[in-house]
Amino acid sequence: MQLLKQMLPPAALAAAVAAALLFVFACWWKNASRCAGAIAIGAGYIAGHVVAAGWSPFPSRHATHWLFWFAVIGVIAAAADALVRSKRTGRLVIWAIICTIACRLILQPKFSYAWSAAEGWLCVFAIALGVVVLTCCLDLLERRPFGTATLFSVATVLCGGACVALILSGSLLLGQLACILTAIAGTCFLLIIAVTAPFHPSGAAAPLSLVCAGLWLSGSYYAELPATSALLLALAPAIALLPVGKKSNFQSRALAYRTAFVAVPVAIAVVLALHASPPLDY
Amino acid sequence: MKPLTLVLELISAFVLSANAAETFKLDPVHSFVLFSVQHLGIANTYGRFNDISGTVVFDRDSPSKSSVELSVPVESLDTHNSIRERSLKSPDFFDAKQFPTMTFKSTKAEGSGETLKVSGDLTIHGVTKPLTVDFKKGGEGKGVFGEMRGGGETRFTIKRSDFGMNFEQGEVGNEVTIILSVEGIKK
Repeated sequence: MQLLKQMLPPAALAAAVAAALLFVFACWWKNASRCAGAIAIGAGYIAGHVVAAGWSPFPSRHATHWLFWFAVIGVIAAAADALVRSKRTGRLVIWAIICTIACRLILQPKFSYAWSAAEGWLCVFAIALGVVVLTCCLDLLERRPFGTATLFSVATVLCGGACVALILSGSLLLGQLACILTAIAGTCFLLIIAVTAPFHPSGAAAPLSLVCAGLWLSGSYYAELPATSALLLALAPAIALLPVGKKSNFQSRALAYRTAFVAVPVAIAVVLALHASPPLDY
Repeated sequence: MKPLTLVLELISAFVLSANAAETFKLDPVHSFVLFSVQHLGIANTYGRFNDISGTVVFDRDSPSKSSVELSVPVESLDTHNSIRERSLKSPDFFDAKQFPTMTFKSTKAEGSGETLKVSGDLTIHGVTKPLTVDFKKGGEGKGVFGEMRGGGETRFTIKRSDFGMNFEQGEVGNEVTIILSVEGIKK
């Protein structure tokens, strides 16, 4: 009960902000629909983060505080992408640079205490590449028919699983931040279904992948989230891209299948986190 | 060298060494960092850090020349419950992997007799704040191997929010009482 009391206010606020923005975009500001999802996720997450963890100074000294700025950067990148519409290669290179900087920032303490410069940069490049692949997977998922609803449905399962796994890994704060994302994704999914919003794509992949990656990295490096769990969570969206049939009247069924596909690695990640957590000594 | 000169030099060397500041290296086996914090406003929860290192330079003739340097690894936190320890070491509180040590470095010492007022910089969770404590001198004596030992104790209260640890305010008290009891071996 105490846990719910703690988790609910930031999650509810984040969901309300995201839903309000998405509704405004759907009804009155259709020109901005290409980055509507990104703005809804980013603004919702920022509101929830401030309630849960306080305002984050820039530059941040704590890895957790960088997540706030990752949401901001994700929104800016998605908005710029929607406005400029540069070539795919150029977009990928710029996004890869952003991801590398983000990974370097969040892993700064590892450079100070654990890694040599070469070892650290190798890890940063590998992880940044993984984040780029994650963004591409989410973006591809959204570009499929019924894609935006599928993306938010998949994100709800992904972030919900991450929330449970992070709490089991000893960090209620990181779990709370994942819960904020879950509430946003779930609310956006319901809203898109309800208003049949014409977002396609909505740009949600950029802030979603950057904040999720930041959460999993923080969980893995600064809490006790097993590396395998973090890896499974990161790979889950790729599984959602598996073919599920082509007929257009099966779109809602395809959404259900893709969500179910993602639920499998997410469930394994949660079980692994549960297995790695110490017994409750009550 | 004349015998008289030799005797004078020996005496002066003895007097000088007797007046010089004494340096004690902390004995982690007989030094303790204990803390207590309120849980849900109901009762205090107690914990300790099992490891501590550092040196105390004590000048009995001129206490203002005394100094203290302490370092405590956050990983050595022990609250008799592994789930609570994981939470305390996680980014929720101490963030042990990002900020692996807590340190205290004195900048000023004053007082005489049995109590020294020691001021310095306390760094916890990557945040450094000034702190002044009353350090009560304990006894001095020889250990089992004939080594010279000295020690003392201080008790003080800090606010965790001052050090950027704001999570679960209300559930976990903001004020943390710390007892630092140290024993050092004279170098």
